[in-house]
Amino acid sequence: MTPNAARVGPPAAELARMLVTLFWVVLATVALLAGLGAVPRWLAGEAKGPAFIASVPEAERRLGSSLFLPAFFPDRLAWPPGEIRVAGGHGGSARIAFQPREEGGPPVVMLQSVEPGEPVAPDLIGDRRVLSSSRTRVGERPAEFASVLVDGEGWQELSWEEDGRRLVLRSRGDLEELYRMAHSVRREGR
Amino acid sequence: MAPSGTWADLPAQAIFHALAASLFVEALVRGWRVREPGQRIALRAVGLAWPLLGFPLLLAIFPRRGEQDFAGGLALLVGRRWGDVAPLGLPLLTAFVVGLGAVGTLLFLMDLMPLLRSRRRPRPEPSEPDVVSADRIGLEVASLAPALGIAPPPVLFVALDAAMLFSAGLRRPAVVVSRGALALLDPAELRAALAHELAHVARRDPAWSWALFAARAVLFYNPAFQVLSRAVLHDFEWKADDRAAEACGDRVALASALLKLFRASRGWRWSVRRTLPFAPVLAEPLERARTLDIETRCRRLLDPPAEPLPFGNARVALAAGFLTGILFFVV
Repeated sequence: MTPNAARVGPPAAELARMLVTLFWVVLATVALLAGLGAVPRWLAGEAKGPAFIASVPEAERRLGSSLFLPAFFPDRLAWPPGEIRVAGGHGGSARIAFQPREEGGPPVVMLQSVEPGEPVAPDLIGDRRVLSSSRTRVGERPAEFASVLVDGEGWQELSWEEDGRRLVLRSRGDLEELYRMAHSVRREGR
Repeated sequence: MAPSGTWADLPAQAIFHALAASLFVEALVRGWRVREPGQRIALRAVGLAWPLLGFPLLLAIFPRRGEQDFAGGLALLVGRRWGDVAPLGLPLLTAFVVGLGAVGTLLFLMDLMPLLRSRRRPRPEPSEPDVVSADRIGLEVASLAPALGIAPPPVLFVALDAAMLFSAGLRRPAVVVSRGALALLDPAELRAALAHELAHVARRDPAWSWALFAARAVLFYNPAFQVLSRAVLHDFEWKADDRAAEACGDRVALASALLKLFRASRGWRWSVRRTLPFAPVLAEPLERARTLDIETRCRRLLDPPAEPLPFGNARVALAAGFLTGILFFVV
């Protein structure tokens, strides 16, 4: 009798053995693939905290989602953004800082989480203290306008939600410019 | 938003899908301990069909799998993220494609170059065998062919002292026998060896081998496909061994014939293999692999044939279904 013939048992036992083996092989394959999928994020240091990113597409790739950006972009601000940081990897948050073209002008900072219902990562928000706040609207959406101290510096801040995603726009300059930028925010390709 | 990718994204996906499919079916072949060659071929065909059909269909039917929303949410593995990791300035995705592509190409060339070289050599002309040899071959083929469910195919006799016995031909396969093979094998061994070649003819293995070779040429850069194709060719041999042993009723004679023909063929095969790139480095491992292959076949033939496992079709269907389900989430 061959080893193969000796091993074949009753159909029910053989069926159970077949399914158990299949279960383990599927489980091992999925675990291996998920592990291989996680390694680049781990190597890129996304687990350690916010990472500096070179471009918006790169940030979108890291976060696994397109980002909201203002369609209205005042001439005084430089493009591309001066600083992009992401935290949390896929499904995390982004902080995009638009620097003025001329030295000394006020910058604009945009913060957003890409996962609906999730707050922006605290690492990106910074040490924030609310001085005053009031309800307002960005288009049809309810929003909050606040004067805040972030790491000791004063900012005007608008926060609201688009498609369930938390958006924050900060400026130290003109309020009208802040509102116009907020009204024009949209997701690329949508 | 469309994914921001590079030229390496698609070949990397193709290579990785084939690699994952091959590992998955090999794990099942070993986990289920599939020993019957027909079932091994069926399961491995799932692994071969994936890069040829499954992956292109997935791209065609679900083109949005590659987009950010899917890649960022549901995907198990996003290959292009490996492009973000660049030790020494070289993105790992590019290194993966270039490295594995080179291995795949080398594996394909290892079989293509001897084939091209052999096509350039003058082919031995078929000749008329002597009466005794003609009777010997004719009687065996006439009695074995019906047992294998085919009409006796043409038998080409070659007046060479090298021991050669093989089947060839796409539309009308023939069995080729050399004078050296007739001199080498005793009657039982000759009958068993002829049964083996007739089993190849009955299963249309020469045509399938060419089809597989054409597929290998298309996916020449894909190392997993190259390796799995070779494994399937070994299964073809195992299957032909089993059918031949069943037809001639003597497994030991077939093992003995295999061994004798292998030993006799080492001399002339060696000269062909030395034309390979890196021949001095590869010659010894290749020789060992061939020896191991023959040894494994002979060992199999010393045991009774392996029985097919129950639920054979269900196993293949489950393998194909789960493979599709898993690889859907690999982009």
